[in-house]
Formats: sequence, structure tokens, C-alpha cells
Amino acid sequence: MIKRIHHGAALAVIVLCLAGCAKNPFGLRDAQDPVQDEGTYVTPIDPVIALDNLRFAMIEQNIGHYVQVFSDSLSYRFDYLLADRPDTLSGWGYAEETRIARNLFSAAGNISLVWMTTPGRSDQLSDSTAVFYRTYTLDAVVMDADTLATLSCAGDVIFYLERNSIDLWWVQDWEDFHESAQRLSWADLKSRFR
Amino acid sequence: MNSYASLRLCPIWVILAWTWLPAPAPAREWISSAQSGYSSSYHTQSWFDSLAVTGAVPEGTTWRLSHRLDLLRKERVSSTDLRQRNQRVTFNAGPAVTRTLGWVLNLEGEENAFEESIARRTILAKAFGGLEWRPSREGTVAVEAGVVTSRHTAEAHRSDAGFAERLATHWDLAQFAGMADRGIRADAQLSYSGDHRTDLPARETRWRWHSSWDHPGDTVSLTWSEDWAKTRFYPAPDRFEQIARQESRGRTGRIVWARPPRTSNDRGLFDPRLIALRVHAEASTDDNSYNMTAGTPATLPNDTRTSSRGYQIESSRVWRSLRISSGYRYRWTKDRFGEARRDQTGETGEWTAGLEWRLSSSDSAGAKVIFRATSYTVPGDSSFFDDRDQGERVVEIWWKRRVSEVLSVRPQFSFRSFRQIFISEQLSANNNTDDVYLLAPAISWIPAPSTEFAQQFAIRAHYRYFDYERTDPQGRGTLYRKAESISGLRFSPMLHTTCHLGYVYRYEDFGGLYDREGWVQAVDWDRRSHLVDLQLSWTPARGLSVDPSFGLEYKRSFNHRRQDGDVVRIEDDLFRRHYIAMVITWRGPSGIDLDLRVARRVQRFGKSEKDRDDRWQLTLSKGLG
Repeated sequence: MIKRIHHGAALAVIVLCLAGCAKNPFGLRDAQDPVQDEGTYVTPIDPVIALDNLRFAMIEQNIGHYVQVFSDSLSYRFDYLLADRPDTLSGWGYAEETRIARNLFSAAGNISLVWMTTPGRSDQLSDSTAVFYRTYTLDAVVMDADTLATLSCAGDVIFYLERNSIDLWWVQDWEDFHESAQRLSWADLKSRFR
Repeated sequence: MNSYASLRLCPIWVILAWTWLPAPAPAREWISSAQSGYSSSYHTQSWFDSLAVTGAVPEGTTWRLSHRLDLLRKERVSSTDLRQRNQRVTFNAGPAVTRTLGWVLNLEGEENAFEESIARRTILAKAFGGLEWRPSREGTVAVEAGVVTSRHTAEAHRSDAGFAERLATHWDLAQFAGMADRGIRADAQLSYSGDHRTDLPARETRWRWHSSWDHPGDTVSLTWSEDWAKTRFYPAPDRFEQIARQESRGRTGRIVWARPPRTSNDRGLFDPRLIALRVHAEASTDDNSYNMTAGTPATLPNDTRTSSRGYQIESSRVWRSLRISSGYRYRWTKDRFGEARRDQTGETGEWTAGLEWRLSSSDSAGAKVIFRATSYTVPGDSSFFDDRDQGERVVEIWWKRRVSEVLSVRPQFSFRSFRQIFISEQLSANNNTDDVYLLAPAISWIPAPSTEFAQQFAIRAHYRYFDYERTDPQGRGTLYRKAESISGLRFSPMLHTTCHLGYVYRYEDFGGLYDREGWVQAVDWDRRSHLVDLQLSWTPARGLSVDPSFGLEYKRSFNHRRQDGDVVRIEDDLFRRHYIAMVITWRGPSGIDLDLRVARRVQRFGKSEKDRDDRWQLTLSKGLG
């Protein structure tokens, strides 16, 4: 019985120390007051909002918004890369995608992204999944050998979205196809920042 | 003949022909399997074909032949159709010379082609021969030498060829040293490959060490692996005069210790000997560096280095009718992109705790709590301003009551809060918090063995608060509310037949939040949805099942306009969708499997044209042996 009381007392002391003395390990830092307007991000209660969020995250180069567009188990796939890197990749997952995006945003001076529904196709919506077909043009001004260069990309993308556990929509799969073998695709642009 | 012609014509009869061809007399020395499939959906057609044959004739010789072909065609209106063809064929054989020594023969061919006129195509062919030595069950050494040829066809043609060699060895050292009986395992693997093509030579070395020790009750596992590769590649498309070199190196170390509880579970709750523990620690680095070997300078990727380390501690304790679990996870990562201002360091800590309590023979309850914080920091001179923190808290509580043998209820409540802040004044206007509340009671009723009824209600409120006033007119936040009723009935009206009928009614609204001496919502829109789902599963004969289904969705959306202090609801959209589908599966004799899926979906937004999507897929597979 005395041993049990000792255990209880020791536990109480540890809990009090943690609660009273230690800094909250899950606390966040203080932010500075804003000097610029906020970016564009809307709670993705509709699948099309998630796509808008992706487009604006690219244009505004906001990595915080970009990472919220995707499922943790994102699968990004492409047809091929124009520059033959030795690793014959056909895609990657969430961690690599967000890492690449951050590297791209940090190197890009300006990004413009325009897309429209791929001609001849219409989006497929169901209660918990959605498929969007988009034809895009993407221009990124990046530092290239100490000079600014515009990388112009074009192609078709297919986004597969799902409704997640808190009823918000996110991109689960993303397929990227070249417009032609003579023009960079989005995947080629990303590949340069792997 | 253009390979895509076969795809367009969809010669299912070809598959049927080979499927029903008389099979070679099955013998133990032969194992073969084949699979073909065709699918068509919404302007995309794809075909795949695979064949694998493994043999052990003549005696002492093992061999394997495999082939895989994938064809894809996507119809495009504004430009030429997108076509893709990938195929790979391999043949491996290993005739034995003695009990411990054998020849090795490997032939590989691969083709990857894209675009309308196969504007971009690579062909790779490899032929290797060598020896494999198996001195004992504990180890193998294989040495091979051969020829590699490659051909690129894009704007220009480029061929390359050269000699190549490979070495692979694997040793079970614990077995070798006779320590396996003491619970010790130790495996070592080493592989090397060299490719001496004129333009694109490559070398790659990998080694991996894994050891573990099973102490009575405890398990300790250590793993160490290293990869090193030096390869060359063309850095720009169709400019073969430029060659770049990549050197990559990766190292990973991992230790895992797991300890189950030592004694019976009826003693003190906090007795450390009764707690199951698992500790996992890992560290890894990956380096990639690039440089040019010839030609004028071209753009190369930056050198990168990714490092990570972390640990995880999990504990659980079963005490009488309680099961308590807790865990902590920490992870640190650093990404270097060749420029200090682009580097990023990430740190994540996560604490989880769970409790399951069996209150009585008919009641049980549970709770789960998660606290997670992640910090991303960048160098002080970064012009990218993405120093940011994320915090998440999750609480889930549930209770289950079994009212009787046939009736049970399960209320559930959960709360999730996600906060993301940018530290810099450049981006801090985006700082916000998402709070999601969910209440979801559910009832399950089984009035007869062949009938089950389930009903769930779910009410959800999703608040999003911004830290600062916004420039858009949506106030300091938004509120999304959703309520739904989900009903399901499953019953078997006769033998071999099961029906499922489902109905969902859903209400949603969304609007800005305004601080008017307390938060108030101004609804911008609302919508109501009805979803009906009917599925039938029928097994008319052994191996054959037929599953038709039908679904209907009807959704009306209204915008809310404010006029002279009143709110007017204006119909915005009416969405209607229905689908009908059929799945037939047949497991026939001689290992033949057939799977046919046919579906039609028709949808319409408002007064727009009906949009119809037909899709079907046929897969045939056959295995012998």
C-alpha cells in the first residue's frame, strides 16, 4: 500500500513539474503584424475550391497554402521528363512534392498559371470523389545561371480529388502530360528543382 | 502495324483465343500465368498484356520468361491524341554446373515510346552471362558480364553501346556462425553494377546490413544501409553533345527496441514491468551533386542534401477492463538546395494518448487525444519569408452501448483544431485557425439474421478564424455547417442474393463570420442533397457473381442575397446525376478468371447539356501450374 502511495506521489510531482515549470512543447511562436494583404485561400468545402487554392498558391508562391491542397498520400505522376535524369522516375509523393514546391517558390521571381477545362472533356463529380481535366500554360521566371529566365510550360493535367475525414476536399492523385515533346511540362519545371 | 490500331479495335477475341487455347500438359516443372485487360473510359483507352512462364526443365535448370505491354491512348480535341507504349521483356536462366555452382543468363529488352508518331522513344537492350556460386544455404555470390545498347529517338537519333558488369552477394552471417539459435540475425547484402556505354557510363554500389536480437521477450533490431551511384545523363532534351554527371549517396541507420509486458496484467496500474514499450530511432542523409563533363555549360539542378533524424516512443498497458496507450514522436529534417537562402529546417513533435474502457458487458467507451506542433525555419537572410509554425489538437470521444442482441448505439464526438502561422510580417496576414466540431450518433439494428439496418446522423461545424482583419468582405472568418442523415438497409431476400439500399440527406451552408459583440454568421449559400444507392449481389452459380448497382444524386443550391435588411434565397444551381453499373466476375476452371465492369454515368448542371460517361473494363487472367 505504501509503495503504491509512493508511486502516486512521484507521478504527481512529475505532472506538477511538467505543468508548472516546463515550457509548453506544443506552443507556437509569435508572429509579426502583417504589412501585406493576405493570400487567396478558401476553405475547400467544394472540390473546385481546392483547385482554385492550388492555382493561387502557385501564383502567390505561398507554400503554407500549397501544402494544404494535397492529401498526405498524394501521388503525382507524369508521362516523361524531357531531360533524361538517370533516375527513371514516373512520379513522387507528398513529401517530395512539397519539398520541390518550396524550392521552386524560393527560386522563382514570378509565376503565372492559367488553365481551362480540357476541350472535349467535362469534370466528373460524385459525392466523395471528383476528377478535373485541365489544359494549362505555366510560366515561371527563375534565376538561371545568375540571369533571369522564363520557363514556359504547357500540357494537360488530371486531378483526382477526395473528400477527407473533416469533409474538406484535397488532391489525392495528379497526372501531368506534355502538350508536345517539344515543350516543357509542369513536371519538367518541377524536376529542375528536385 | 501501328500498335494502337489493336487498341482502337479492342480485339477481345484475341484474348479469348489464347485463353481457351489448349494448355500445355500441366507439370510440376512449369508454372505460367497470363493476364490481359482493356479499359475504355471517357476518351481514354488502355490495354495491358502480361505473360510469365517459369520452368525447371531440363533438370537442374531454372528459367523464367516474362513480358509486359502497356498501351495508352488519350483522345484530345485541340491537339493530337496522346499515346504511350511501354513494354519490357526479360529472360533469366540458371543451368546448374555442380550443386553449388551454376551459370546465369539474363536478357532484357525495354521500350518506352510517347506521342502521336512515337516522336520520343527509348529502347534499351541488355544481355548478361555469368556464374552464380552458392557455397551453402547461408550465402550466394553472382558475377555477370554483358553488353548494353540503348537508342534514343526524339528530334535526333542517338545510339550508344558498351560493356557492363554486375556483382551481387548476400550472406546470412548469423546462420553461418551458428548464432541463429540464440535469437540473433545478421544479413549483409552488397551489389555493384557498372555500365560502360560510350556516352553514358554509370556505376552503382549498394550495401545493406541488418541485424536483430530476440532476447526472451525483447527484440532489438539494427539496420544500416548505404547507396552510392555515379551516373551520366543528357541535361537538355535532344542535345546529345552535352553530358552531365550525377553523384548520389544515401545513408540510413535505424534501431528498434520492442518490449512486451513481462507479467500478468492484474497488478498495479503504474508498474513499469507491465507496460509494453516500443522505441524507434532513425537517421538518414541523401546527397546529390551534379557537374558537367563536356560541352558548353547547360543548366543543371543544384546540389541537394536532405538530412533527417527522429525517434518514436510508444507504450500501452492493459489493466483489467482498461487499455491505455500513449506515444511521442519527434522528427527533425533539414533540406539544403545548394543556396543558403533556400535551405529549410523542420521540427515536429507529436504526443498521442488513447483510452479504451469496457464499462460492462454491454457498454464500452474510448477517447483519443493528439497534440502536434511543427516548426519550419529558414536562414535569417532568406528573402522567402516562410518561417512558419503549425499546431494541431485532436480530441475524439465515443461510447458504444449494446442495448440488446440486435440493437446497439454509438454516439461520437470529435474536435480538431489546426493553426498555421507565418512569422514574417510579409505573410502573417494569412495566419488562421481552423476548428472543426463533429457530433455523430449511430444506431445499428439487426431484426433478423438476413436483415441489418444502420442509421447515422452527423452534425459538423467548421470555423475558420483569421488573426487579422482581411481585405476581402468575408469578415474575420468563415463558418461551414453540415448536417446529414445516412440510412442503410442490407437484406438477403433469397439464397445467394444480397441487397443494399442506402439513402443520404444532406444540408450544408457557408458564410462569413462577423464580430457583432460575439461571432455571427451571415449565410452566403446553402444547398440540400439527396443521394440514393441500390446495390445487388447475386451468385447464380459457383464461381460466378453478378453485381448490378444504381445510384441517384439530386442537389439544389441557393445563394443568399441581402436586400433592405432581408435575406432572399435565389436558386443558383440544380445538379442531377445518375449511374448504372454492372460487375460480373467468373472464376472458371483451369485457373481462368474473368472480370467485366460496365458503367454509365449521366450528369447535368442546371440547364447545361447532359454529360454522359461510359466506361468498361475487361480483365482476363489465366494461371497454370
